[in-house]
Parts: sequence; C-alpha cells; structure tokens
Amino acid sequence: MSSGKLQVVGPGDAIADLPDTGEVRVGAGVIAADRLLRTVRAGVPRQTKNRKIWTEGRSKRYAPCVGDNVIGTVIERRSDDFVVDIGGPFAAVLNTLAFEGATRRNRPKLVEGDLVYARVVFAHKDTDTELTCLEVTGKAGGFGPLKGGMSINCGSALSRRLLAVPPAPVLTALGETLKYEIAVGQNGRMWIDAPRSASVVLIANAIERSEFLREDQTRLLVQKLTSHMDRLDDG
Amino acid sequence: MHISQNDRLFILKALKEDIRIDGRNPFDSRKVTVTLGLHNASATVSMGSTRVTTTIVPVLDAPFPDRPNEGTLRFNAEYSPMASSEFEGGRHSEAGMEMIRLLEQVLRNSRAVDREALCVLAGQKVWHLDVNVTVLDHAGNLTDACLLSAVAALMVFRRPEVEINTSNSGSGVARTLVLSPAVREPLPLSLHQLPLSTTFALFGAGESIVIDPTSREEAAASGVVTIIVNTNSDICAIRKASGVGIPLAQVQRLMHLASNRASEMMQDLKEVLQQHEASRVSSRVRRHASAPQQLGATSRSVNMLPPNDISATVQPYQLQEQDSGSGEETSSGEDDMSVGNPVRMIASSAEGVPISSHAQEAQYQEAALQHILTGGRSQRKAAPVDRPVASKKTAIGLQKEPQIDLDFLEGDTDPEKDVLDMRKALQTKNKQWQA
Repeated sequence: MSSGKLQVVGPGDAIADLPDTGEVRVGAGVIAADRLLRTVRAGVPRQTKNRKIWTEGRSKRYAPCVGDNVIGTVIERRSDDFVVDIGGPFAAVLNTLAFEGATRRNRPKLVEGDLVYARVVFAHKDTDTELTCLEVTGKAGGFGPLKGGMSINCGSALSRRLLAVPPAPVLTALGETLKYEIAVGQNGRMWIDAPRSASVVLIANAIERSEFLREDQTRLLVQKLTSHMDRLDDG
Repeated sequence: MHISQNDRLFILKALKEDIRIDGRNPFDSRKVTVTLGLHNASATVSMGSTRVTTTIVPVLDAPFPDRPNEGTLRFNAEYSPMASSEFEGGRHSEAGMEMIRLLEQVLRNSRAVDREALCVLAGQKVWHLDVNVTVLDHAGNLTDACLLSAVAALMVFRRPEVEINTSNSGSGVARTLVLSPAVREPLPLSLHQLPLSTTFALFGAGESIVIDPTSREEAAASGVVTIIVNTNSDICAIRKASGVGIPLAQVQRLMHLASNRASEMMQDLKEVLQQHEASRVSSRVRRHASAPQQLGATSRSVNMLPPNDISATVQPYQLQEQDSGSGEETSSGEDDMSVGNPVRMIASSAEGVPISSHAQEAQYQEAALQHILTGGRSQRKAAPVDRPVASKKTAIGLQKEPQIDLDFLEGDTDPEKDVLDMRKALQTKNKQWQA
C-alpha cells in the first residue's frame, strides 16, 4: 500500500499482504485474515512510519481499538473500577489504580458524570474494553479526569484531523487570539476549556464548522468569529 | 441520552450569561429547511442537524364497519438507531410511542384532516393514509421536527382521483378505477387546521428557558414544554410530561412565543409549497428539446422529440384497475396483481439532478461560506443564494423565481375559510337554540 496516494476501501477489501517476518501494528478498522490485512469498514487506509495500519472513515460510532486516546464519561463507580462510557457498543472499565500516584488508600475521587481522558489498553469484541489513565512510563502524561469545560461530539474524521501533526489550521488560528485547553479523543469526542464560557462556545463552533473548509477559509472563519465576539464585548 | 456533569454545569453556567452551547441566543431557533418530495407524498424537515422525513402512503381499501364513509389516518414514528445511538431498533421506543400519540392527538383527534373527504364509495372503498415519520438524525427537538414534517407532508400530499363505474357490473358491485396522475390531476387533502409545535427547555427551577433545544440541552434541562398552535393562533395542545413546574404567567409568555414562531414557520412552509406547486405545474409544460431549460423545474419537464418522431412520445395512459368487491368476485381476466391488493400510488421519484455549472457551484460555495460566517443567529436573514433549484429541493431561503403565481391556497379548500365558515354555522346554531 502506498502511503502517499489515497485509496478508498470498503469492508472486506484486502489492503496488504501480511509479511513473513517483522511486525505490523493493526489499528481501527483493519483485521488480519488469511495472511491478508482486510478492512472492516469504509474509509481510507492509512499507515504510519512505524508500520501501523488503520482505516480512516467518517463515523459517529466508535469501535474501541488498543492505543486510542479517548474521552469518556464515568457512568458507574464500583469497588475496583469505574465504568466509563466511551461511545462504543459497550461501556469500558477503568481500574481505580490506573491513575498516577493512585494506591489502595489514595484513590481518585471520580463520581458519575465526570469526564476522563484515557487510553485504551485492551479491546476485544467478547470482553470489556479496558482503559488506563497512565502512559507506558507510569506517568499521567495528560491523561486523567477533566475538570470543568465542555465536551462535544465531533465525529471520528474531525478528531483524527485535530490530532494530526502539524496541528490543524483551526487550532493554530484560534490559538493566536484565544487561550484555551483542548483534549481530543479518537472516539470522536473532544473537550474544550477556556476562561470564559463565550470562548468555549466560540472554539467549539469554529472547530465543528472548520471540518470542510480549506486553510484560508478556516482562518477567515476564526477571524470573523473572534471579531464578532470582540464587538459583543464592546457593545 | 446521558451527558457528563461537566456539560450539564457548563450549559447552566453559560445560560446565566445568555449563551447557548451552539452559539445561539436563548430565543433563537435553528434554521428550518423543508424539502418536499416530487411525488407529492413526502416532506423532509431539517433543523440544524436534526432531520426527519415523513412519507404518506395511500391505500384504497374497505372502511371500518363503524365508520363506513370515513377514511383513516394511521401514524407511525420510527426512531431508528441510525439517527442516534440511544435509539434501539426493532420495536417502538417510549419516545416513539409518545410521538405517535402526539401526532394522533393534534392531527387526527382534532379533526385537522377531513376524513370524510377520503371516502370513495361509502361502505366499500375509502382511502387509508399511512403517515410514516422517520427520524434520520437526532440533534434535539424531535417533536417540532416530526410535527412539521407530518404537516408539510399532509399539505403537499395529493391523492389520486378514482373513477367509480357502476354500469357494467352485473351483481351491483361498483368497480373503482384509480386514475393515473397523467390522466387526472390528483387532489389535495382538505385540512381544517394546521398545527405546529414549539418546544422549550426549562433549566434550573424553570427560571431560564430556551427555545428549540438541542439534544444536549434536552438532557441537561429540568423540564421540556411543547406548545402546539394552529394558524389561527389557537392553542391545540400543551405537553409537559415531567420536570419542574412553571407558573401560569410563564406559560402565557411561552404561548405567545409559540404562536409567533408557528406563524413564522407556517409562512415559510407556505412559501416552499408555493414554489413546489409552481415547479410542479411548469414541469408538466411540454417543451421543445431546443428550447432553453427553465430553472426550477429542469429535471421534471418533459422534452419533446423533433416533430417527425412525435409518435414515439405519445405515452399510453396507465390505468390501474381494481375490483371494488371482495377478492372472489374478480373476473378471470384480471391481473393477479390487483386482486385484493391495495393500490399503492407512489410515483417514482425524478430522474437525475441537473448539473449546475462550475461557476454557479463556486458562487454557491462562496455564499455557503458567507452563510457559515454569519453564524446561527442571522441565518434566517441571510442573503438569498442564487442557485438553480436542484429539482428535488425547494428550500426555505432559496430565491423565489418569478413563476406562475398560483393562489392554490386561496381556493375552495382554504382551511382557514373552512374553519371560519364552521364557526359562523355554529354561532347561528347557538342563536337558534337560545331563541
């Protein structure tokens, strides 16, 4: 598969041969079957330099996949873990000890309805998806409970775009005039916080509307929105 | 739908500053677009990302024995899992059943549709209308979207004409002939009133209110009120199933707001219907192939072949014949298809959509960007976009073309006039009784 050219695939399409030696990391929407890598959903196959293959599509649902950063809502508190809704077909579990500095005596105080930014460590169709709020190194690395702010559902395609390197034009354009904090989950959710409610709403709207715009259009959009807010402040 | 505590608190905090999560003011509605089906039997409504479509299926069949000269209206609301992950497929959800009850209450039980006009042959054949409301995308305020799409579909709906033939049947059983729209113009329904709903979400102890809530706002709200108003600004129904209580003064304020919004929506809806009707009429005008294509009705107009080929264009009339008696009495020559089978008159939708030129497309995109930039609050006043109506769509906000002006709503079937007449009749009757 050439990484430069875009090719649209459907469920069941073979996208690559499984190599005899070496390692291939399989991401969302790809399965290995009959020594072939096949897609299980419509989209564009993508590949990173360290041989991870996945397909990128536009979907409002989320199929958990190991290694994804996700934003979830705590829906239940149990003795050993939290049950977290990550927008997948079933809820995921997050161990109470899977937080930085957490011990049996010092557990994170999360309640139903809290937002957490976590990483998927285990995903299988027959068992519960498992999450962690720790990096491989054992540090929090940005994961953990999200305080305040607002979350929005933006769909998988937009969240992938926002996570891309270099950063999406809308994020840099917004950063020029506004101070904000953002967490993007690969489950199509994102969380935004800013000092003012009006800025949070503005950022959320700018990001949602920028999905189908070019870079120059995005800049124009952000410019108009921020100037509109300034006018409101003056008036 | 459950939302996180962060979102709930944020919605409440922002509302204290009169800010809503999608950038609207508390009393701004989302832009409403109505798209009417070319076969005159469906309407799709979109409010922001919420999309609902209604299709009406007429079935010619025997009436219910207790009401031999009345047709029926059957409502069905499908909350498909496609629209939202909170809906389950397969069976009716509680919300879906509630919607069906609401539609029955305001459209059937209020006698909004004249059901006696659906009678073809008393005791033998009446029209049964299946009104199927399908939620395509759920982004809040399904009540308003479902009712508006059902009303729009009922307004655009045309039922086929039926010819009753009693002469050539030996046993006194009348034969009915459903006439193709090409033979005789299908008839609109007679509607006595047109109810439209406005939904408000209440927050806190009911002190802050927003109109046309999104699904997140609905989830965070402490109560939801729906007020249904008809074109005469009469309150048809108020629905408030649960949540915080509201004082009477607040209810009166909401009724005022609802009646304003309903009349606004009805005005837009009538405009769309007028455009639809105009394009429907112009589509029936036969045009020479070399004649310039007219905007607005391009894909539906019939192009004539050159004169020497004219015989090829003459299409045989398609009549659908059906026996009005029971299935056993059918003559042997009848087609199997028609035996006991209700005639389903749904014309196939139009062919291709005309490809607009690149220049027009670019212009449209530019306008669309402008539209985005102006934000939600000024969308209703946005400059009209000059785009050829892509045949299938007649959207609110598109430029109205100077076409045949049809006062189709002012004819004998004017619902408001009917209601006025009814009122007058009632008043005279009351006077007689008093005398």
